[in-house]
Amino acid sequence: MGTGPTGSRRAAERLRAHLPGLAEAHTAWLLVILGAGLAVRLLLGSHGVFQADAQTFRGWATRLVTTPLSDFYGNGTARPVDHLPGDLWILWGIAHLYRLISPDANFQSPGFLVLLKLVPGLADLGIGAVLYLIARHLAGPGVGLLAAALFVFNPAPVFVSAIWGQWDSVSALFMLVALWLVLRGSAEWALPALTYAVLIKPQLALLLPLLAIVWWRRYVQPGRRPERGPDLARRVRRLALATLASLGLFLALDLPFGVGLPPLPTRWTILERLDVAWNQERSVSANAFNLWGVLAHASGSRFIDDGRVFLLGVSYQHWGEALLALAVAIALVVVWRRPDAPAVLWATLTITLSLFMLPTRIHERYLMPAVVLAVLVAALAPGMRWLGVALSLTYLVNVSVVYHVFGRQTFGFGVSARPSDPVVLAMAATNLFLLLVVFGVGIALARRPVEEVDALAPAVGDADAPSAATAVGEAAV
Amino acid sequence: MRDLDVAGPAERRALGQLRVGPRWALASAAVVALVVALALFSGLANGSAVRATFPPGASGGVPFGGRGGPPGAVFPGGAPASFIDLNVVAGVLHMTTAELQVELASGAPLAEIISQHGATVDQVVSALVDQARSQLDVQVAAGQLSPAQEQQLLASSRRRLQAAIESNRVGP
Repeated sequence: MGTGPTGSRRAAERLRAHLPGLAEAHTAWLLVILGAGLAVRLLLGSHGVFQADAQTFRGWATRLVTTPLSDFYGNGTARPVDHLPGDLWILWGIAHLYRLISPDANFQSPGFLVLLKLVPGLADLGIGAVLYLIARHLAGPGVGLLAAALFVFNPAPVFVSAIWGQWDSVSALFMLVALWLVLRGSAEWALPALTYAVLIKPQLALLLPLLAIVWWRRYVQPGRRPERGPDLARRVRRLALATLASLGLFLALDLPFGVGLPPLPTRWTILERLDVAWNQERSVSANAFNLWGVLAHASGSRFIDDGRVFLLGVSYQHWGEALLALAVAIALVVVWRRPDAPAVLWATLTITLSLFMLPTRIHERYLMPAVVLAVLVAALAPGMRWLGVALSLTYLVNVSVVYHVFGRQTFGFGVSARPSDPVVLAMAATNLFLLLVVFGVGIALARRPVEEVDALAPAVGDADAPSAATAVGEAAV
Repeated sequence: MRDLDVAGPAERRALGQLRVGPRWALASAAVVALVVALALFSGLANGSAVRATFPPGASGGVPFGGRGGPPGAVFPGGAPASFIDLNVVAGVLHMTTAELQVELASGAPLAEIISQHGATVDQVVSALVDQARSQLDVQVAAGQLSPAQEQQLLASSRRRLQAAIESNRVGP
């Protein structure tokens, strides 16, 4: 029996000796996954495109290289540009790159389409890499590889990026980077990353209150009352710096386009650009199979103006906004009660899923951030694997149907018929079920017995900070 | 300081709390079933709401919802993009939808493109209205729309389409 501890020590030493090799092996596997993911996207890239969106990108690319940036949003297009400068800068970059490669700058050429599709393809791989980092951080490298593979080879994002040619994964990538920074204990530096994501998809701004609450509950009020100490002073300084960096990023990206914040004397304010983007669609659903796919389109009705009264004298639009506000409030309450990693993951998933499911005027592709997070949760929690699978499936059906109908192109995912109302209804109802179930997960999280929550580790990556879990225990008493 | 790349064991264990209770799942399924049933069998989806909200001036062509669509397919005045189905327009002009989209993206107003291809705005508008009629006929047959309402919608649709195209309010 005396050899037991010695044997354990030797085993531990042997394990430690192999750890670098193991780490290298995992990195190599990650590179294999990303490389294979890139190959899949390059192979599928020539098998279709959503022409309308590609033409929009081409038109904007032409404008970005032929007119001053300050005129980009000006007259010249009958349909106002509904994107913020975030991804326009990326388009500006590839348009100029393409002009260097091909001096005639024929943006209608297949070569430019390759570049257009390479952007979301690379963003997909970036998401795979960050998913690996988050999952490795929380559950080890094996789970990290699983998370990366589940996303990189997920047919739905592959379809959106490689075949459709849309850029939804770009904003999702920056949102995910922000989440990664929060989980590593650098919530402040998540702010610039989220700012950039918001400058692509402004609806992601609803994650800002979540970020604020996590920061407050982890660093300012880990107990029942606010605490002051040297660590808090350091945190406040870091937050001030990150806020300045975010503001600087915002202005650096927006001012060249003549967009600013009031009262800056710019040609447009960011609010005016948001107004243009928001008012492009006025239907209860811009093809998203969401709550309104159930309530408004169950009978196969067509366009419904969301300004019309839905129930109790309130319009569809305001019902959607109220439900979204309620969903976000629930997510924030849960994170206020327990700002640990599982709750933060859940709240981020809930807000992004609610953003797709509840408001009006939502496009089919806007489920992407929720799919990214569902895949992450699926890898981390075996009890949630079904969610990643189900959400990926409904997303694939939604984008495939819309692509088929509006793009008039099929790519053999079995969607050969015109979309029938039962398909819309079934997928929308499934998504509604998934949303309700996700809320159930969060409510259960918030109601965990105090002793279980109390046993959690200190806030991630910040051993000096008081235990977030302890704080939750105190708050729940 | 703890290694930033590794979360604590308790935090890892807490991930197991992300799970669904079967009772909640059943309750959620029941709620969804109820909502679907209400939507199908009440006036929420197929009753007065739809009849009241079918947009004046719509020419049809949108199987579900609306879509921002290609540059050029929008009424800047407010009607959603999808009310001009470029496939129909392309058919009248004997060109592919992609070719039409390319021309719109190049900056030419739709009226000019129509003229260049030897067609008239009237022909295009009639094709769009015909397409709308075929869709509205289905709604009339289903009792969701009265024949008088159909005629009213089609007449309004024709006027708005004509005005939008002739005043070059449809372009890139």
